[in-house]
This record gives sequence, structure tokens and C-alpha cells, in this order.
Amino acid sequence: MNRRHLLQALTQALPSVGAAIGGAAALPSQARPALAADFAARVASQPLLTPFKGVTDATGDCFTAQLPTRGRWPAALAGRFYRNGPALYERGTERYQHWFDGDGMVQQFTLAGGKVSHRGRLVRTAKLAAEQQAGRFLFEAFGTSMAQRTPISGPDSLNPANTNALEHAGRILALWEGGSAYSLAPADLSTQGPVVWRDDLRGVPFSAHPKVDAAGHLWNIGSAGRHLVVWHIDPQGQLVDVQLGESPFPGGMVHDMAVTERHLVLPLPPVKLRFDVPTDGPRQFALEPGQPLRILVMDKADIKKRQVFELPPQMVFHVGNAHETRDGQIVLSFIGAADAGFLNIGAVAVMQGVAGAPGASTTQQVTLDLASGRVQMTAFDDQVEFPRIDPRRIGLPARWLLSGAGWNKHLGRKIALLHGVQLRDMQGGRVRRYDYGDQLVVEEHIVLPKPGQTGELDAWLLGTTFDARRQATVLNLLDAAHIEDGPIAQAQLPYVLPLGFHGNFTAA
Amino acid sequence: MLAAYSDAASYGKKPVAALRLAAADAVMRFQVCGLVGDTVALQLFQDLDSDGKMATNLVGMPTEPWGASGSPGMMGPSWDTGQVALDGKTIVVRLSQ
Repeated sequence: MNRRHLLQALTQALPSVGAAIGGAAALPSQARPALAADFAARVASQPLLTPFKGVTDATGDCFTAQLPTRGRWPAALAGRFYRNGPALYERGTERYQHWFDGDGMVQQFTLAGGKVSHRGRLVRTAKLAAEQQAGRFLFEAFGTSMAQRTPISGPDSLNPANTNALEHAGRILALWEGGSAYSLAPADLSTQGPVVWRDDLRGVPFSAHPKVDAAGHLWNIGSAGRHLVVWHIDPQGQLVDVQLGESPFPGGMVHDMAVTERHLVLPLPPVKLRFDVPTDGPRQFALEPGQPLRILVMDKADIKKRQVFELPPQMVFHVGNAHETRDGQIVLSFIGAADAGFLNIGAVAVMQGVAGAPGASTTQQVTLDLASGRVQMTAFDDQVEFPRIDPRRIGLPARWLLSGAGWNKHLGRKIALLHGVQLRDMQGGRVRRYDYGDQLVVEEHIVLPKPGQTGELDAWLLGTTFDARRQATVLNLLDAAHIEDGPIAQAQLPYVLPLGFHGNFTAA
Repeated sequence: MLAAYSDAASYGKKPVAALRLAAADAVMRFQVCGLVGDTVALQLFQDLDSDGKMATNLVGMPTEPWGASGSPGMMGPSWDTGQVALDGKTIVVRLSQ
């Protein structure tokens, strides 16, 4: 493509994407798969999108022993903060078309004695190893069809281990929705391989949003066609039990779940994922007509004891929390959107190097009455994603919900990426927030209780941002009780990390 | 192991033809005799544990290398994705790794 063609592509692209707010619109037409050169040309005018260049096999392995810091990192804050996200987007001249496609890279920030170090490493999945050897993409991806170049043995053939990372029972689990967990060594992030919990469970999906209760028990789900699997792993990392059930919406997306003392609570949006099927152009996702948003409530001890609540159709990725009330109700908070526009437009636009539209997902809370089957719903007026709560209150009543947020402060910022963080009072409705600014992209922040303190806001908030002015990734620490004041400490990386999804902290 | 099925009801249970061959070259060609009808679905797997069955996990996904005619999905072979026209032309089945 010569320079004139590049300019034409750019002028064609921008108006159509500007019209994308609130609905479907045409994105720039792409060769299949997309060319890396197209992105490079467009991103020059979109400095917020630099991280979507991603890493290479070489830059996907990095270490900085001591990051330059600002403010004061508390000595009492010691441990390892992990994040995971799609990171390698290009091989040869080819480029994935969807944010969710990239090979996973785990980031590890080690906090000790007021100092911060960083290590990042691509998860060496079977997919990555095969594609490194071939020098090109070989497999179908979540949002990009590769015309099935290579026969697949199952979901793990496509598993990029790119969605979440947590340290549990001495190993890091790098997680993706549809396949095995990959185990990594905390010492150097080397990949140890897919986790086989039991021989007959080889390759059974272990999805990306497990919940660990206060005692260290890990609960997770996996979905495969009509099957729904519930995993229970003990604090020592041993399989306690696996239960097999049927999905009330076979083939549907099962992304996240909440746990309560007795129940598992799963939002099942009416979206089907068929990323093994070749398509012409970017894969399309849509709410299935006439299908509700289901909330599946299962008894932890016996998942056959279950109830399905039906709500108006919505797209849901993430839950905030759930808890049981004394009178037999379950209160669930989650983030929902009216349509699958982010999957179809937002997550594709950023990969093309064009801005797209602001996100449209909001905080919601439903009360599910187990006896009567009735549902009461509250929708808040905000623009959020990446909800997190005080980890000690998972499955218990929690007042404050932390999210990445956007609001009408930076007019003209038409981008499906967030610029602030907010704490929402789920009892009173009040919102407290901090704006990182127009030139920053905010990633997920997590809640870290201060050692020896019990109050919900006696906590730090830890998360990364991408600073487009400095063209660097920054690690930020805020005081939850004074979120409005912004970071009390920062550490700046000497490089740009790809924008990731989810992470967790393990105290030293 | 290669098995040929002629309809949905017998798929995975009662093949109309079956072959057991030693894994040899990267590309192997062979004839399957005794097939009748308009459609067929071929299923191939590498019997690593020599038990004569395609090993599967709890949710029925194959855990030995496998392949199928048609457009196989990622959950394993099925009649729906595997059926192809039986018209005398060569049917290509690719084995996963």
C-alpha cells in the first residue's frame, strides 16, 4: 500500500467509525487477515492506541530490576501483582483483527521495601510454540478467521492463555475462557504447561474468572458446547471435585461467575461463540434474537439443584459480586450493555488503529428471589468495566464496587477505553472517582486491604495505566479512602505494555 | 484407526467400514470398500494407547490426535460436521497434532 492509499484508507475510516456510537457501523474493510502495515500507518495519529501494536517473540520477554518511582510506595505493601492480556498480535505481515485474539503475556510487578520491579513474559502455549516454529499464524482465533489452516485437536489448539492470571498454591495460572489453565513459575514466569487436574479432565475448559474465597478455595466454571463444568480446587491446589451439568443456553458465552456462601451465580448473555468455524472477514457477534439474559444459580454442593432467572437481553462480561440475604434472596452486581457492539466494533476498531466509540456498559444490580423466582433490577447511569471488590468480601455483602470508568469529561474522546476509576456505593448510589486524564488509558484496578485493618475502604487500589504523552505504562497506587486525590505512588516502565485484561495480587 | 459411517443414528457406534493401519508417512492414501448411499462421514484417530477406542475427556472431547471428513469443529467429530458426498472422489481427512 503506498502513501496515497494509506491516506484514502484513513479518510474513509474515520467518518464511518464516528457514526458508530450506539450502533453497528461499517469499519474499514480489511484484507483477511489484516495487514500489520495498515495498523502502523493509522496508529500514528492515535497515540492512545500504541499499545495495540503489541509485542514480538523477542520483546514479549522483558525484565526491569528497579522501576523509577514517584511518591511513596508503602513498606507494608509487599507481594506480586500479576496481570494478563492479549499481547502478540502480528506474525509476518499478518495481524489479528480482534483485541481478544493475541497470545497472552503475563506481567509480574514485584513490590518490596518500597521498590518495584517488573517482569513480563509471553505464555508459551502449544499454539505459540507451533506458530513461532512456523513463522506464521496457524490457528483460528477468537475474532479472526484463519481459514482453518491447521486441523485442531480441541479448544487447547487455539488457547492463547490471555485473559487472567493469579497465583494459587504456589503456581501462576494463566487463564483463557475456553481451554486449560497454563501453569507458570512465579520465580521467572517460565511456562510449565497446561494444568491436568486429573487424567480424564485433560483439555476440559477451566475458564478465566475463578473466584477464591477467604479460606483459599478456588471455584471455577468451564463450558464446552452443551456441557457446563464446575471446578472446586482446595487451597493446596488439589482438585476437590468436578461437577458436570448442562447449560440452559448451549454453546453460549460463559465468561464470569459470582460465588456466595452456598451458590454459584452465572450471567449467561445470549451470545454464541463459534471461533472454530471459518468466516469471511472478522467474526461477528450478536445477541441471539428473542433470547433473554439468563442468570443461572446453582447449589455449590450439587449443581443439579439450580434455578434460571430470565432478564431482558443484555451483553454481560463481568460480575462485581454476589451475596445471600437472610430472607432467601441473592443480590448480584454486574456490568452489562444493551448490545454486543463492543465485541463487534470497539474491540475491532482499536486493532485497526481507529478510535471507535465510547463503551456503553453500566453498573447493574439484581435481586433474585429464590422462592418466588422474582427479579428486581437497578441500572445505574455510568460507563464502566473491570469491576472488582474487597477480596475479603467475595460472596459476602460488600458496599463499594471499584471499576474502571469513563464519563463526559473529555468530549471528543471517542474511544472504547476508560480514563478514570470509580468507587460506587452500592447501598447509597454515591460515586467517588478519579480522572487520570484525556491522554491516559486506564486498565483494571484491584482492591488491596491494608494489613491489619478491616474497613472496606482501609485499602489501596492498584492498577496500570498507559500514558500516551510519555508513551509508557505506569503502575499506580491509590488510597481507597481518598480515591479523588489520585495516585499516592507510581512506577513507570521503560516500555509500553500491551493493554491487558485482568490481574490479581499475592502478598509476600 | 479409520471408521466410515453412513448415517447419524449409527455415527460413532456402528461403522460400515473400519481400518486399522500403522502410522507411517505424513500423507497416506487408501481405499475404503463396501460403502453405499449418497453420504459418508469418516473419522480418524491415532490410537496412542492401543485400546481400539478414541480417548475422550469428561465432556467428550478427543484426547488422542483425530481428524474427520467435512469441516470438523473443536469439540470432536460428529455426523453433522463430518458428512460429505459419497461420489467416488478422494476424501481428505487431516489428523490433528
